[in-house]
Amino acid sequence: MPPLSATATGSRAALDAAGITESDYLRFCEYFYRRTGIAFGDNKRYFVDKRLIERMHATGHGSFEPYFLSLRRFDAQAEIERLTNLLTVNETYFYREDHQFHCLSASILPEVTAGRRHGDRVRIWSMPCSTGEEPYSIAIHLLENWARVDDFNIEIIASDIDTKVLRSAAEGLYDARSLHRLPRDLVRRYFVTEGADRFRLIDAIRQSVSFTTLNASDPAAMRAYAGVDVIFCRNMLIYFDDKSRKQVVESFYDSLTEGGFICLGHSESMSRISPIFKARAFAQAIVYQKPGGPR
Amino acid sequence: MAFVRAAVPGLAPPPAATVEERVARLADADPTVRRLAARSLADAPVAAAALAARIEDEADLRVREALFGSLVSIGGTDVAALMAPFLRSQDAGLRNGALESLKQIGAESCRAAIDALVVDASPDVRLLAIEVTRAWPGPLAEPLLRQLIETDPHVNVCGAAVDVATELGSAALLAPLAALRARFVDEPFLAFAVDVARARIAGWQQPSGPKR
Ligand SMILES: C[S@@+](CC[C@H](N)C(=O)[O-])C[C@H]1O[C@@H](n2cnc3c(N)ncnc32)[C@H](O)[C@@H]1O
Repeated sequence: MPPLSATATGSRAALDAAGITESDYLRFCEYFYRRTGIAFGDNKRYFVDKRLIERMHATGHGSFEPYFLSLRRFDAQAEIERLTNLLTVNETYFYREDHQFHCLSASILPEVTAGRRHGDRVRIWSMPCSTGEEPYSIAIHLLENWARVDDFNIEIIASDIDTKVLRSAAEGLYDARSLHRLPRDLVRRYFVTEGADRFRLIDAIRQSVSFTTLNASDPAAMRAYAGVDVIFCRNMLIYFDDKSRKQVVESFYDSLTEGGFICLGHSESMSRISPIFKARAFAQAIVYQKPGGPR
Repeated sequence: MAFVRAAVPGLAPPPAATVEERVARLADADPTVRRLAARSLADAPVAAAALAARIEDEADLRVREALFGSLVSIGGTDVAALMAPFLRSQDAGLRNGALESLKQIGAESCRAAIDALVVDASPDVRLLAIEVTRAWPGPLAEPLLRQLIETDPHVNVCGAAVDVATELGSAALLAPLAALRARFVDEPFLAFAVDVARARIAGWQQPSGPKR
């Protein structure tokens, strides 16, 4: 398989031969953008074409047009899902940008729980969660670092549009690449080795996270998520355009409790998306807060 | 045990209120109610005029954002026409909100509105109209930029057009840019900008340059 960045004339000719024209590409991008909020530019043509061709072949379509039409059929859901799974970027690992987890346990949660009683609910949402490393990292980090972890009923919800990564997240089986940032003693405490490069997360952690399929660009579906205290939305909005980003963070605003927080990825900044959140600079990280609530 | 499994949220019931009721709530005393009403009208094109009418009077930033957001979701030429007059507003927040929203609505929808604004009597309005075209696909932006570069009497407006033209990199603009330089011989800044633009565009026409 040639590298995805290859744009040599040879591979370009091969793609053109498969019959995806420039205007087909633009039509498809428009369709996919409307569905998911993910915007592909000109420079992603090779990446997208290659995956389209893969699905065209797998479904027995010799050319783009009939395949594209088939996506509009009422029974196309399964195929749309397979294609979407191929076109999302799922890269993630345990303890990615873990300064934000320190911010969670040292600054955010103490503030969020200040007025709450023993046994009250704390709801944390990892959206998108990809193969689960992020929500599981949150669980592990809190067990290791938050003294009040046993005082509350903590719910961790984890969502993604990609059903394939969600299945793998629920399974909880990882390779060394996923664990490379995790200290060795934590690997020993929370994983069971199953072969040279396979580590299974222990059930207690696996069962602490609830996974759901969710399209962030579907405002009606987003409305079902309410009463959330902290949202982790990292490394998804970079693939969205301004309009979709704004729409997603407006939905987040509705999902959050008054005074609730959002953590974005390091290359994402709320100030360029929407002014409705307040930036909070804690010692560990800059995060964003919905105004209001007990302070 | 610290963690409990969340009852995975079920779908919230659809908003029970009618469009009329929700429009009425846009004027509620409580900003939270106004914001939710504005958000809930994102799928009600019939409410577009009511949403736009509220924007000017709305003092709460978060409600204003929701009004703009729902108008962008509704989209289309009618919304673009409702939004365009805000580019004349004295209120900078309103002007910027309208500018960002027009960019997001897309070229096809706001073409007619922008066509009218680029010949507006006010150079400030023409300048903002050019800014909108920054978000457009090249083939749609090019004729407008050419028109301004060839005819606009105001040096700042021409400067803005040159700036967008530089990003676009269309060879068809090379000659009009040269003519513009001649038209404003006494404006060294514009001359400089034109030279940069022409060099950049010419560079992009080389086979190894990035394709735009
Ligand atoms: C790079 S991963 C980020 C995972 C994790 N948050 C992290 O930072 O490591 C991006 C994820 O966003 C998901 N995604 C993309 N578009 C989405 C959408 N519209 N709704 C929900 N998830 C989406 C992809 O499926 C992918 O798993």
